[in-house]
Amino acid sequence: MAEFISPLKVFTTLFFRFAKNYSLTISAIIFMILMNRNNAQTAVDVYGSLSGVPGLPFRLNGFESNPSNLNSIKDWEFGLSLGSSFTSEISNNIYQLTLSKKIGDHYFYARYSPGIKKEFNFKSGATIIFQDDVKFEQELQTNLRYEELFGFGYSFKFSNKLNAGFNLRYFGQEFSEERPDLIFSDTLNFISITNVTTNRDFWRADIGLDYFPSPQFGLSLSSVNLINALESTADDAAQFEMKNEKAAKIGVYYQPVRGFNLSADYETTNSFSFGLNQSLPFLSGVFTFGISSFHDKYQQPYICAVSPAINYSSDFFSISIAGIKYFSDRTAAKPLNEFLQEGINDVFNNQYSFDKLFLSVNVALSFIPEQKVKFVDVEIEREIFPVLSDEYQTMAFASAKVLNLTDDLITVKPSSYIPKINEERVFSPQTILAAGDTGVVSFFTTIKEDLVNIDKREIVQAEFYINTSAGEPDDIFQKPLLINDINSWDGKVITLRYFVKSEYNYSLEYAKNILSNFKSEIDAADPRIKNFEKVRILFNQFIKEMLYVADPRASVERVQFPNQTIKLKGGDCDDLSVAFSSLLESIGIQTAFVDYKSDEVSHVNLLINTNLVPDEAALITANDRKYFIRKNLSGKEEIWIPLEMTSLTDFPTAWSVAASKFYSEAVDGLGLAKGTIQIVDIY
Amino acid sequence: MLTKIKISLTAFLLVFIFSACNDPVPTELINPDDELTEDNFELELLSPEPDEYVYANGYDSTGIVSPVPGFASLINISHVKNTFNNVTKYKSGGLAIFFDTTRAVRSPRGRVIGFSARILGRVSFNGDSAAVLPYRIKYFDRGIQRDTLLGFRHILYRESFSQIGYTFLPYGSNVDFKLDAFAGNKKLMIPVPDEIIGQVNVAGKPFQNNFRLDLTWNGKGRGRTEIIIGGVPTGRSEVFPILRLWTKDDGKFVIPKNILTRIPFDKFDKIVITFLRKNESYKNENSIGRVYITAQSIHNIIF
Repeated sequence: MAEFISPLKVFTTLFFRFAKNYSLTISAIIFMILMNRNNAQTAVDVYGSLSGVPGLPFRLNGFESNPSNLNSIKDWEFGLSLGSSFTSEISNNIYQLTLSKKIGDHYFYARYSPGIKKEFNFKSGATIIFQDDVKFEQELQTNLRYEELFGFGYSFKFSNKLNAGFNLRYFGQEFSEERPDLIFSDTLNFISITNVTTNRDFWRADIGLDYFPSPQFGLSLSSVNLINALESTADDAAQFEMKNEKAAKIGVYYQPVRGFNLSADYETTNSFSFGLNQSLPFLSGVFTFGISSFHDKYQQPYICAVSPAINYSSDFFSISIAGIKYFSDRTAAKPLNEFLQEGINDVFNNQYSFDKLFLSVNVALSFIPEQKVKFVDVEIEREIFPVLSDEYQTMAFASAKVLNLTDDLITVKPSSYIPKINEERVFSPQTILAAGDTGVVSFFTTIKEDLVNIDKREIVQAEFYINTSAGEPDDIFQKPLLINDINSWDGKVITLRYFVKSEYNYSLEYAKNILSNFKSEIDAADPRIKNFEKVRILFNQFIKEMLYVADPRASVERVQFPNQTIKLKGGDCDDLSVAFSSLLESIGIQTAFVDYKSDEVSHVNLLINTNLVPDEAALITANDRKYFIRKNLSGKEEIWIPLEMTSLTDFPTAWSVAASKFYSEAVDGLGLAKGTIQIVDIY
Repeated sequence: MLTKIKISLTAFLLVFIFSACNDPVPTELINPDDELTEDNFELELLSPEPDEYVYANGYDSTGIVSPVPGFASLINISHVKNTFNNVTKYKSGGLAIFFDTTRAVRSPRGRVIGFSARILGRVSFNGDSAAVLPYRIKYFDRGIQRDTLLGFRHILYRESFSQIGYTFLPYGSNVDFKLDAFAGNKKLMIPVPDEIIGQVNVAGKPFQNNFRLDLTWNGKGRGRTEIIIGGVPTGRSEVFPILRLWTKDDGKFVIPKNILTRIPFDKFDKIVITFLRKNESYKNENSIGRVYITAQSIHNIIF
């Protein structure tokens, strides 16, 4: 497999050939002069000038920048950076593998960095001469190897303006020296060359703080080499160790216009960096271009390198190409005495580092979308009465105030789940919210037919959801909701229709059974008053077994379904009115409720359409205060007669009592005009 | 499902990428003038087979260089000081040996220990005639010291407890060498190096952690100095060379600890540190073949 040409080698070879002759020109022409949050010697990042650009969906930064900047992590994220170094030949390596996780406001980060290493070799000054048949010499070598092996980071988001964090990094230092080993014996003396290896591994810890007083401006403060803990001591190797000079780093970030970022960092070791970034929306993501430069006191010339970068980020992945081009020749051999005097302060970026090119990919392993909306409050507007299941499809049972957390117009998709009456979430109509706006969304529901027959009132925890995308909701709210039993009634006469309509089959059968016994009488009647006769017959038969029974004392009114009233042989005014209305409606006779709201105790009785025109009133009565004329939908006047269902004597009495009440209160008392008395049609 | 695909793809890519990784070339650190610098040295192990040691490796107690392979003739001027217990004995002299490279002399085990040495004429150094004396060399055959006569050599030799090198074949001068040969005369000018005066500072005792051998001498600041570490084995009188070092002629050298700890000091009654400053050259002369010309100042410190 090693013989296959790595795609990265192809890419870097082509890039190197192309860029070799135009490196600085490309940097100046192609990329806009932007800023970044790249840092000086101790903090150059594999992401180059894109590190820490706010607003990018993915966190693009290593430990080289502020330890507190981990808060761009979405949920689980995996990152891979491949890099190439340009020496006398191009070498490739995985620079880092990262894994990040967000838990609430806590952010965790781990990385393995096999590619962050630097090696030196030099002749130790000893040459061994071997003389056998042929004389040859071997110069002894010393090899120094520095690498950053792995690290961990943690940051905490105190607020949208303040983050703080720390990181721990583990460095390996291996010094391998060839030494002559003299072997003396009685018969043979010889020199062998042995490798003496010294390890000086150490841990490094740093802390950092990010403060954004406004979205356009930010400050950062972090330590460099705050704590260095050596794992072993070996005085012989002290001269080769990394210098680990302590410092503080101060950073400034400024966004004068949206998408254009300027930043600068200064380290107290007298190193600094500056850069620019420009972000442009593209498809569903963001393109960002950046370039930066830095000065490091240990490197020449004064501005020692340039670092261009380009990135594309969406919600699910990010890909970056970044590079570092040094302005001095890094391939030539360097003086040993200078190295022993100055050493190196950083493995990744030092006066001996080579030009580099990186390809980085970040992937969301499990994606939790950013919250775009959230509940402010939910208000229950009505209890659930199972008999009114159709009502809740057109009239909201709850409403919520919802806040748009973004700077964009968003569409909110509300849904709800009510235990006992829903089998799954019920979606309500979408609402559009302006950026930063608080709006009201309504929740509707529907009751599955086989769940309607609830026999006991109960309070359940209704769940409310709001989504801005498919997948997990942006926010969830729970609120208690009263589910009434099937016979509970909201007290509004207009909803009695649902009790009336619920059992037409039963009512029809009951009515037909009665009327079939009076077929001859009905057939003999004047056709114009057949309906009137049916009403009279049905009423007289209906009331024979009925008894007026008031509702039980309860916090909510109850209404019996027609079959219940008939089986129970009694009920109150609304039970009897519903039952008789159902009987009449089932055989096609139009009815309406009369709601006497003015009564101390609410009362309801019936109005029945005789289908007689006013000229035909004499067929049923000579008293014009015993009927009421109403226009139908086509404007034709029809005679309606009131009927008092609680008058369980006979039809004429019930008719008279109802008519008297109707005319005194609804007509003479202007109840209808004032609205204190209301006629409510079934349909 | 999507997450599983992502993880599988990522793992595959990692394996593929890792297989194509390679480390960058290390940065080479160099000494700018690329010469021996302070603390740099070259090291050669002498007497690889102690039971068959032959002086031909170039060291004997007089400091006179034995025949070097590849040369038909040897002309040498040596000033040797032997210091023991703060008493110094001085030996100086000139040496000429003319080998017949067609006649090798071998040990009983067949090892070439030298070539037959012949007389080609009269030899003089600065006009002083050299005596003709038998040329014997010592060697070890299976741990037993033997000697053999290779032929004759021309020696002009003086010895004293006072310094003779300032007047006799003087330090820093050009010595006039002349061969009045049967086949023709030869004249050569041999530059003699300045005197080397060495000093050995011993700290601690062998095999102790603080044991040090600090060597100092009157360095010239240019060129290099040869140092030979040898010893007199227990129960013997001759000196065995152990190591030869070359270091910058800056007047100081600390023997590296890793070397010092490996020298079997317990096998020697005495240790000999030889400081050697040498001029050497090569000439091709028709009648006497390829000539190795050397002039050296040697200071042996025995402790």
